[in-house]
Amino acid sequence: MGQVTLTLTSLRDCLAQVEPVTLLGMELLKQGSLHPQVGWFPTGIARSQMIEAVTELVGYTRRSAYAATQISHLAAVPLTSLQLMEYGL
Amino acid sequence: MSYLLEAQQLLIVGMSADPVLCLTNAVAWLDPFWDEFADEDDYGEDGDTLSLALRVVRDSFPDIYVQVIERLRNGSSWEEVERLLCSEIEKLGIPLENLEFMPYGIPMPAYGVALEDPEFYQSHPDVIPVVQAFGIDPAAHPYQVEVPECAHIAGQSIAASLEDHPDEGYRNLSWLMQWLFSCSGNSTIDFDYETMCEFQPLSWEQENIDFAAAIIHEADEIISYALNGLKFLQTHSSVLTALHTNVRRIYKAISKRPKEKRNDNPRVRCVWPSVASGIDRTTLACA
Repeated sequence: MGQVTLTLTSLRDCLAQVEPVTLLGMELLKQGSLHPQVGWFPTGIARSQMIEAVTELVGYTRRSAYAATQISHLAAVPLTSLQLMEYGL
Repeated sequence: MSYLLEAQQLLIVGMSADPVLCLTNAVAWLDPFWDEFADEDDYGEDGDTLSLALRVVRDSFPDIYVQVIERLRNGSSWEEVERLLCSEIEKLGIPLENLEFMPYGIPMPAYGVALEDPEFYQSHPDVIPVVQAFGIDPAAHPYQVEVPECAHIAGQSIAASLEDHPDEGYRNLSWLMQWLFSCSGNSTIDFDYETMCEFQPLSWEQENIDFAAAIIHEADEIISYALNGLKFLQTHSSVLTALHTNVRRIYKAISKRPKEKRNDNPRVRCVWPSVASGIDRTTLACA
């Protein structure tokens, strides 16, 4: 099995290819923006759809917070092959 | 359309087109309290009951959370939101009179009977003829009702024997015995308030709320059956007479036993009158 090298550039390219998440709440906002509305948020949305959108958003927030916590606990990786000349200064 | 409204519409369209701004806007719209609950372990310990209530409904009851957000957006006061939260949580079967009780855990009713307590007979005078069958006379002991030692054994034996009776009236009589002699297996039926207070309340988490609601729902059913059992006794004097006779026979059987075995099953064959099903004999502990 060959060694897979991940550079900063390839990581950035990889992340850039990830599609923006699509949540029902965002879809409802987009649909609402197509019509002139009085307030900032769309009105007249069915209760069942609101509940679905809130459930999805709360779950997404929870998963995002969990991912952020996991990432914050990642161990540092020493870059032994990289020479940082400025460090001496 | 005025320039201001046009500007607002332009901003709305712009924000909806950008994924990050759209997500931010969706959070502001649908989950405005997300930042209140960043710390998973902070479950209202700071005494902020409204925060705790909001967190509970956000985590477990999105339909109530949506109602809260809608009310706040429509200009309702926090007092109105508190009332809404209480009433909606009560609709789930949890007896929450006031949000102030939330930090103590899920409140549970305590229907348990303390036969020694004279106050019980003041609030339930209709059970006096039933307990009199067990030699309990609340009128004779106004401060501390005397309960014969074997009353609970007798009551529990009768409850167990009638549990699977084909006649509904007798099954309800079994529930009445289970309530009066604390042997239903449902803690809200078997424990009085003081006993219930000795237990650590359930915390406000989804599975605990479901569990508590199931216990309370079952307890409500048991109380309803027990009250039907009481009505059955009140409307069938022959059954009440049979109860007196059967308890007397059980007491007699217990008294003949050595002291160390008086808590064992008395194994007495009870006789009950035919009421509807035509079955007139029920065996107590035939084993």
